[in-house]
Amino acid sequence: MEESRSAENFADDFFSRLVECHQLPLRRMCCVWLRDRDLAEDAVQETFFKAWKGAPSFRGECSEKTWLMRIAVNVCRDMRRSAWHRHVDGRTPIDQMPEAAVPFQERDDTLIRALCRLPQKQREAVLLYFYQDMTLQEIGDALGRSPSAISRRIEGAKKALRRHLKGEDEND
Amino acid sequence: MTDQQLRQRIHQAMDNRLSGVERDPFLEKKAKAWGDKRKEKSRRPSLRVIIAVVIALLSILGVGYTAMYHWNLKEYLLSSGYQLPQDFESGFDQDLTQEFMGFRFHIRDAYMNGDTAAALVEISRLDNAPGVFLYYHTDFIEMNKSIRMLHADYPEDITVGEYIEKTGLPVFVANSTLRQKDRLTRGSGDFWMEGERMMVYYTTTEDLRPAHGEITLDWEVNVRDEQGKWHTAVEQITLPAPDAQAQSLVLDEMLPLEDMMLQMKAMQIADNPLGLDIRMEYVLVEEKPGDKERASQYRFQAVDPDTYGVLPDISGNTFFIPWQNPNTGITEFTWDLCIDPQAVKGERLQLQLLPREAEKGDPSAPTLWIDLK
Repeated sequence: MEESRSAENFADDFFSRLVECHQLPLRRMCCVWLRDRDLAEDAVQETFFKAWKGAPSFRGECSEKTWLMRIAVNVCRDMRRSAWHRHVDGRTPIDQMPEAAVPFQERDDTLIRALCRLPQKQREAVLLYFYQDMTLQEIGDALGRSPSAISRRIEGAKKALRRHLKGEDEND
Repeated sequence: MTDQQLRQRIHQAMDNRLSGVERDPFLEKKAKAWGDKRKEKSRRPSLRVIIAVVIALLSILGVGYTAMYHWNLKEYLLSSGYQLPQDFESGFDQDLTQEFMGFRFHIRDAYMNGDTAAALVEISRLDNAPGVFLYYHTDFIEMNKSIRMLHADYPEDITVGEYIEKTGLPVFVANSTLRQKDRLTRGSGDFWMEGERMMVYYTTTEDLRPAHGEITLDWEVNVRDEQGKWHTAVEQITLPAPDAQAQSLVLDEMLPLEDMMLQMKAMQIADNPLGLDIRMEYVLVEEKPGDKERASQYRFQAVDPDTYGVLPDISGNTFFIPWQNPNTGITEFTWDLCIDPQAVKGERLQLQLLPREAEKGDPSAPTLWIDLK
């Protein structure tokens, strides 16, 4: 009895820490992944619900971040294809980015829009690599792909981002 | 730009441009409660599950089941949780087909509900050859549940990639949209496959303006080629559209809720074919930390004034998120409710702000009376 109680406590503590450490970057990342704030809110809640449900069985075979990101990627992919995926035009990015709470530079907005325009696979990989600071191996584990495949996606994304940002850098 | 510089730029852009996306102090609690709610819900098999079981049984008996999936809008909406009025029919009887880029697009069913058009569009190959049809890129789409239903021998977590590998079928990406010229509209979509020769795409478009009992729309069909480039063809179609009887009311009523105060801003009521659509907008007055979350635990419900029973929401749609207006800092709430007008007694409608899960009204709950005359 004592043992199962402490296992429960451990899962609770683990989950609290997970929410505390990862919710904000995950929330922002889901906004860019899904290009829709409302869907992102739902995705974050669903991700943490799944994490809470799975917390007792998390065996530490990968880092908790990799594990959580794997759940988030699957939730977001699922939402993209789900019945009520809202769209204005299925072929163009949906700019429903939330308003900023602090002043930002025009180039921040340009970069977010450029990220939104990346193909889904590249967008996932580039955010996990550059924003979540995960390694190629960790991203590969989260997305179920080899590190070299992830590296190719990131290279492709970098080229596209540099293309988008080129004009702006020339103006700087 | 080096990798390090790009990393810094992305961190800065995400943290500044998306600084409006904030930490939710109640997320841990909400995620757990979400789980409890889901558990309760999962005890009741959905109509889709029941249909899947029936189909599986029929297929064992050697009975063709494709016809069972030949949903019209009424059947589709029922399967999606709508509680439609008994006499609801879409009333669509036109034969509208476009052939484009080797595909046949056929509008199976369509209807207008107030300012919203909905259509079921069949998409198949002109030569009727089999394939896996998707409405968007294949990259992020996992196996659709409806496809699984038609192939019960495949495991639940099979992905599109694995399915394609197993069946060797070619993949096609195509979809369809309804638009009104010069209007910015929003919409939603869903799709499923009927066998391996047809995809059915459900699409809705909101914020349309019918006139004189009909509406002319651009029916756009889109096909993605092997290089990932989209091609589009457009044909004009006209749908019967009863003039929307929308009534907008500006309310300036204050409603106390626990120790908070809500200010009603506006209400729109429309008597649409699907039911009485009610949209309410309200804000929190002098909001304190945590008020948004507490107020979000309540929703407006239509309540029978005699029995205090809650009138069912036909749409079954309880999805709602409060929004903080960044210019004013005020949290704005919008609730949509759709009820059967026949369930309303007399000419007055009682709306009560009740805890989300409440099954009964409460004489002491914040109440609005709406005159339906």
